[in-house]
Amino acid sequence: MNRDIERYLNRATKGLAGKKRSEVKEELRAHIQEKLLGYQVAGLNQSDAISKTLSDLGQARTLNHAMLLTYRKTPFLALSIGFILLSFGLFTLINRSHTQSLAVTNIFPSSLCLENTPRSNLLECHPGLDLWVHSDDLKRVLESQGVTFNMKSQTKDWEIPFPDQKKTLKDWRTLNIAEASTSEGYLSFWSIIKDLSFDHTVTITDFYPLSFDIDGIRLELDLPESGLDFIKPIVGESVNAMFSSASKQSDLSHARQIVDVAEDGMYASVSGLNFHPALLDIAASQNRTVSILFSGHKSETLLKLENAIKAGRLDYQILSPEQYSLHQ
Amino acid sequence: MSDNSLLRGNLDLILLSILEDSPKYGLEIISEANLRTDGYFSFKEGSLYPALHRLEKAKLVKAEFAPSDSGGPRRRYYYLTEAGKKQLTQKRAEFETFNSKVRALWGM
Repeated sequence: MNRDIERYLNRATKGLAGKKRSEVKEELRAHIQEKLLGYQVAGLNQSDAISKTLSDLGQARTLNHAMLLTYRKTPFLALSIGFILLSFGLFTLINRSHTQSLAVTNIFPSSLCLENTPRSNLLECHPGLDLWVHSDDLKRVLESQGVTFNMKSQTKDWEIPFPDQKKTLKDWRTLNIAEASTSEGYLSFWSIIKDLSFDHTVTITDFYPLSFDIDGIRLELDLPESGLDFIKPIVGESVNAMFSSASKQSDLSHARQIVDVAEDGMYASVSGLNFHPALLDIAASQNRTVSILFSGHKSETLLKLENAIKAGRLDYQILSPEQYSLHQ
Repeated sequence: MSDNSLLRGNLDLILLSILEDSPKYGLEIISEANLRTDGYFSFKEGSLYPALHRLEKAKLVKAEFAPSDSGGPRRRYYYLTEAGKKQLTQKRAEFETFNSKVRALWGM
């Protein structure tokens, strides 16, 4: 079907749970096809018929907003973005009856970012790309659920021993926690989620408010704006992590579910090491435009990406950090 | 064309009424509303589907995909549930009461 129509359908159904989204898409697609045919029979060419049909339906954003109002209380499609390591066993929650929300910001909370240091070119400097959480808030929310949270101020190592005492964030494999934190005590929330997903089952349980379940620990985010705008980076990062570790077809199906959450404005950050070209294949198969932000850092994976682009398999756009910021 | 606020305020009553006789799909509902009221009820197409889904979530209607009789893609047909029929009866009574009281105010 026409790309404008698919884009409309993606936007109109953005944020709905997987099955419901498919249903609404099919219903709207049938509506569009019938109207389209009517206009064509009446003498309009295809392009004009599509424009008129979509115009009759009204703005996709308005339709989407009304749909989300109807279904916002429905638990969102749970997306498993981690791998279950049974050796960790089941965590026991001491107190999960009361969940406090976690304040986050998408503005890098440090003036250091803007100084002429190696960090100044990093993606974290740009609003909208990451979510930052203050350690004090994280500590409060975790402790309210019976999870100990310690910070070693000397080394900037952070420890969050989960109830079974077998896992601490200090053991992160891919992230130097000191680099992810600022002198003001903030941590990159996406980095926390991404890294935890290697050893824990991390589930997006809801978008209203955006909420995560990490092996029974609930993190409910108090976002400055709509959660949907902030889901994009985590989608990209999660899929990358998933593909990097995927060894079975079933792992890839999870990745496809995650991609389904994002609409055509899906973003994937390319920091050079963890981008998987298969993400683009899936996005392209669903007629999605993938906007790619990259820091200019050349890497093997980025070269693979460029090759995929040159092969003409993708409809895409690459945004510089400045363009990305404007796009937001 | 009707006053939009009047249409919005009575949307449930209108939709339930249109579905009273037989199951219908979205475009058919729009066309039926136009036809029965000589174009007085002119739905914005994009607002129809959220309204139908809201009624479905409230269990006042049910919906099922069925093949199109014209050979096109499957359509999603809506039909009233028992709760929907009760709701329609109640809303009709409320509307008639309201209507008669307004007329009484006007001395009619």
